Amino acid sequence: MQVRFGVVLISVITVLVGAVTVLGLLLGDSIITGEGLFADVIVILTRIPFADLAAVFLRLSVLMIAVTMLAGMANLIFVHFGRLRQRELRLSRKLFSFIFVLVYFGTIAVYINSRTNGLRLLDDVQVALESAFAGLLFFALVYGAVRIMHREVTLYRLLFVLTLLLVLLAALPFPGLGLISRVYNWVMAVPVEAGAKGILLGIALATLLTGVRVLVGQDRSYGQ
Amino acid sequence: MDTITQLSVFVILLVIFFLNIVISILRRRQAVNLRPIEAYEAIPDLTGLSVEAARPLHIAYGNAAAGADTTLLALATSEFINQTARQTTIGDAPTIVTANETVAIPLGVDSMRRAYESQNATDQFNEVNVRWYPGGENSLAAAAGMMALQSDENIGAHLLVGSFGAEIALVADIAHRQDRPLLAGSDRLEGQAVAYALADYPLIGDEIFQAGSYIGNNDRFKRRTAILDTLRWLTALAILGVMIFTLTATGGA
Repeated sequence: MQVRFGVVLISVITVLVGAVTVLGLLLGDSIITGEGLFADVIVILTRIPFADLAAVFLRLSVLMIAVTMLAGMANLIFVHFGRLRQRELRLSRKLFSFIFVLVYFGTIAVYINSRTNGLRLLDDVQVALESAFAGLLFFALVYGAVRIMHREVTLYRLLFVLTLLLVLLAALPFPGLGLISRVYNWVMAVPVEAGAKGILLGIALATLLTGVRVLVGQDRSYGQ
Repeated sequence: MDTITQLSVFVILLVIFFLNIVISILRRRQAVNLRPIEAYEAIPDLTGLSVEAARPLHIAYGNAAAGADTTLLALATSEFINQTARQTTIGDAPTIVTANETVAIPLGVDSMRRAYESQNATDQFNEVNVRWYPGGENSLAAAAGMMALQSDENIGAHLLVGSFGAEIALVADIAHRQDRPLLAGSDRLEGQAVAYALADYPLIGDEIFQAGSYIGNNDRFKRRTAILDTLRWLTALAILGVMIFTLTATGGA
């Protein structure tokens, strides 16, 4: 199997930077205070400033995040300029992209001119739009719940709908729902809590394993 | 960081590190049998449909991004993008990737570039097919953008594999209206619940991380799946052990 030099180099850099950052974050406080369980072990390693190096790497990553914001803004503009140039695209779509470009530069101009007005624009337009979409989301969820049984009736889907009905019934402000409330409380405290923790544990294990394998260079998804 | 946390993190990392090494060596010569996952079994059909009908696939990161607590999820999504996009490079409709966070854009571009490179089709790769859909506070603005994407680009199938909340319902709605399949998985519980209920092909829990094993059919990733299965069994046994110990210590009271 041929392995490219560039990939090996990137892997080595990633492994080194990752290992130093983990050590710096894990042992950082001990290095500074000289306390903690690993204080004795760290005496041997005091000449390697893991915490300082980790802090440098973290500061660099914050800088990179800021740079990617610029990349994102450029990406938006390229996408819409590209659409304006497409001959086969419908006029309505081109008009949308044209309005987008105008609003984009207009918002930047407003923000540069007056920061308060820029933030007001965000509050008055974006927050209002997001609220409208939150309402739409409610209908999409209800419509989706209705659709579940249309596609295919399985035991798990039936259980899902029954649980959904139970939750909705328990939320009703009517008296005499004592039994339903008790069942609801039990369902939320035992099966829902256990299921949620199970799913989160699975995700946490997969995340940890992926992290360890990236750190030891076994998963080179960033290079090849 | 206090001593208990330091010790716990150190022990967990060490255990996973050694298990990873040991199982990798033990299973090097063994074939790894993967349990069937419906969502991954549907990928060849979805990519085939995309190529034949010249309708692009839409793969979304959601809020998964490098530099945050979803960094490794973003890497998993990138692997998913890479493996899926490889299968659509021969088609006329290139896969479209969207991300709510700008930090995910370089990851998406790199994954797509590698996919085209692997199929010797670098000249067809267009960076503009990786797009930023600013998320906003609840990612609803991004979901609105994804809804518009359906009619703008005549999307063949939506594959939402990353970090999503209930906004999956909006994409599921538009996908259903246009009769397009939806594959969805999220690291967030509310996203998982909506995906399970509304997606044609839901990915549950850690299944998001298995793209390399299932789509790519890669031995290295298959071994990772085997290690993950072993870790899951060990965790279950540890929970049972703690439960039995607690019951015996308290005398069942």
